[in-house]
Amino acid sequence: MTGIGKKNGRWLNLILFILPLLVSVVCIGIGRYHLSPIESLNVLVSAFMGEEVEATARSVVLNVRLPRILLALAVGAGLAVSGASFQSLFSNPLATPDTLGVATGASFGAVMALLLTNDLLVVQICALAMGLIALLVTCSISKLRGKSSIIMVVLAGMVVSSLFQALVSLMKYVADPEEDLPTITYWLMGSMSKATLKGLIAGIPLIAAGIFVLFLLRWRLNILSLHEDEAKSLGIPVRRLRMMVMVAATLVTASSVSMCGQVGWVGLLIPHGARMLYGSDNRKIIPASICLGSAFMVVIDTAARAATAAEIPVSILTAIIGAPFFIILLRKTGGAKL
Amino acid sequence: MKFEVKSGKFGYGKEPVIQDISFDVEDGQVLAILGSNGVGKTTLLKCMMGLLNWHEGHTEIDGIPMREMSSREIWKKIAYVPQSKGTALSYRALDMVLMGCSASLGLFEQPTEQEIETARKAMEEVGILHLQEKQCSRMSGGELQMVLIARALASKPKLLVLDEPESNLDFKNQLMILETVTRLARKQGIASIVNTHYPAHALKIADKALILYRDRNHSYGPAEKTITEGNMARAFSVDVKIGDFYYDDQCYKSVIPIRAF
Repeated sequence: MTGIGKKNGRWLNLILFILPLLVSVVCIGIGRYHLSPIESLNVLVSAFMGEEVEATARSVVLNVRLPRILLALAVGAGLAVSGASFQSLFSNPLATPDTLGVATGASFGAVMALLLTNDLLVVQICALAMGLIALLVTCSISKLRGKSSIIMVVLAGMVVSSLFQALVSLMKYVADPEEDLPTITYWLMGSMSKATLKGLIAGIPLIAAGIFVLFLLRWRLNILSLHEDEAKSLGIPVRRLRMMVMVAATLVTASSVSMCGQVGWVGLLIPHGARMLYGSDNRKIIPASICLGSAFMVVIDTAARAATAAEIPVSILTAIIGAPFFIILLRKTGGAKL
Repeated sequence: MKFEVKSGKFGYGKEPVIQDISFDVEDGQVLAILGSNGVGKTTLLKCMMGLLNWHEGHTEIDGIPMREMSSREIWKKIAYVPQSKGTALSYRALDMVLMGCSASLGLFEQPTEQEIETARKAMEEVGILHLQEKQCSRMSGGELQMVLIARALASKPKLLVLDEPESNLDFKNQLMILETVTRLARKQGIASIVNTHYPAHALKIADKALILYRDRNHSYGPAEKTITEGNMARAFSVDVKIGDFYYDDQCYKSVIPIRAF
C-alpha cells in the first residue's frame, strides 16, 4: 500500500466496494425523466418486492435504464480486469485489450457474425475465436529468441490491430449500406443503448465467468508477471496458467465487444488508477479494478445518454478522458516503471 | 538430501555448451561453479534444475530422476535465486517474498496469514524484515538480492541455487550475501550451488568447486584442491597468484590477478 495507513486503507476499501452501487442508484435517476436517488431506490425496491409502482417510472427505470446500467457495470468491470490481467501477464504497463489487438480481433469476429446472423451467442463465440487468434498472433510476432520486450509487444499489437481494422473495413465495405452499415458503424463506436434484459442474460454470464476466473487467479498474476524461469521456479504450471488467463481475459473482452462494441481505454485507465491507490499487488488490483471499472463505465454511459439530446458514442467519451490521462501517465512514469 | 547431476550434456543447436558433467551436493554443502563470462554457467544451472532439458544425462534428487517428479515436488526442494532484474510491475518486498510460498498452495488458493508469517520469517532470517513495506523498484541491488534470497527461503528449500548473487554489488553487500549463504549451510543445513566469477568468493564459501573452461572441459573436486593457480589461468586466461592472509588466527585466501594473456 503506498502512503495509506491501515485505517485509511480500510475506509478506502469500503468506499470502493459501495461505489458501483452508489453510482448506479444515482445514475439510474438521471435523464430526461428525472428521479432523485431516493425515488429511484424506492422504485427498484418496490418493484423487486412486487409492489405497485407508477407505470412510467417503472418502465423507465426497469425496462430502459436498468439493463443499460447492468451492462455498463459488467463491461466496465470486465474490461478493467482484463486490462489488469494482460498488464501482469505481459509484465507490460501498456498491455490492454486494445493495444494487444484483442479488441479489434474480437470486433472483426463480431462484425463477421453480425452480417450472417442475429444470434448473440454465435456473435460472442466468433468474437472470442477471433480475439484469441489476434492475441496469439501478437504473442508470436513479439517473441524474439524466446523473449518479448515491452516495445515489441506494443508494436506487434499495433500491427495486428491495424490488420484486423482493415478486415473490419472490408466487412463494412461489403455490408448493405442501407441496413447493415449504419448498424455496424454505430455499434463499433460503442453504445449500451441496445441493452435489453434478454440480451444481458446471454452475455453477462460469460463476462462474469471470465472475471471470476481472473479474480481467483489474482495472486498468481503477481507471479506470472515475473520472468518465465523465475515464475517456473516458484512451482507454478506457467504455460497452463498463462493460457487460462489469456482465455479468460479474451472471453471478457470478446463478450463486451459483442454486446456494446469497441469501448477503448478502460483497460488502461482503470488498472493504472487502481495501482496509484494500492501499488502493484494484484490481490488488491483485481478487486479494485472491478469496483472502479464498473462505477466508471456507469458514469460514462450516463454522460453518453444524458449529456446531450442525442446519444454520444461511449468510446468517444472514454477516449477524451483516456488520452490526456495516458499522456500524464507516460510523462510521470517515463513509460515503463510503475 | 542429495542432489546429483549424472553425465549431463547440453548445447544450443549443434554446438555443445556443456559436456559430460557430473557432480553432487549434499545437505549443508556449498558448491561453487566458476568460469568466465559466457562459458555456460547459467545454462548449466537451468539444465540441472530442469528449466532447460538435458540432451543427455539427467539430474537426480535423493536417487529419483527429476523427470519422474512433478514440478511442484521439485520446487519444494530446490529454490532458485535468479540474477536480480527488475520487473515492469513493482511489488512490495513482503509481497515479493510471499510469492516464494507458491509451490505449497493450490492453483486457486490465496496466501493466508500462515504464509505471510512464513514470508516474514524468511525475511528475518536474512535480516531484511525492516524492508518489508519497501517497493522493490526503489531498492538498491543488494537489498533486492536479499529479497530474492528471502523469497527462495520462503519455500523452505533443501537446496538454494544462486546465479551470480554477488555480481554488481559493493563490498559490504557482497560479504553479506556470501555470509548468508555460509550461515544457511552451516546452521540450517541448506545446501547451495552458487555461480560466480570471483575465485576468491568461491574459496571463501565453497566446499566443492566446479570450474568450466572455454574448451568445454571442466574440473571438479574439493574447493581448495580445485581452485588452483593453474586451473584459474586455464579458466580465465589470466596469470593468477593465490596467497594466504592471516588475521586473528584465521586464514583468508586472496586471489590476485597478475596479467591477462
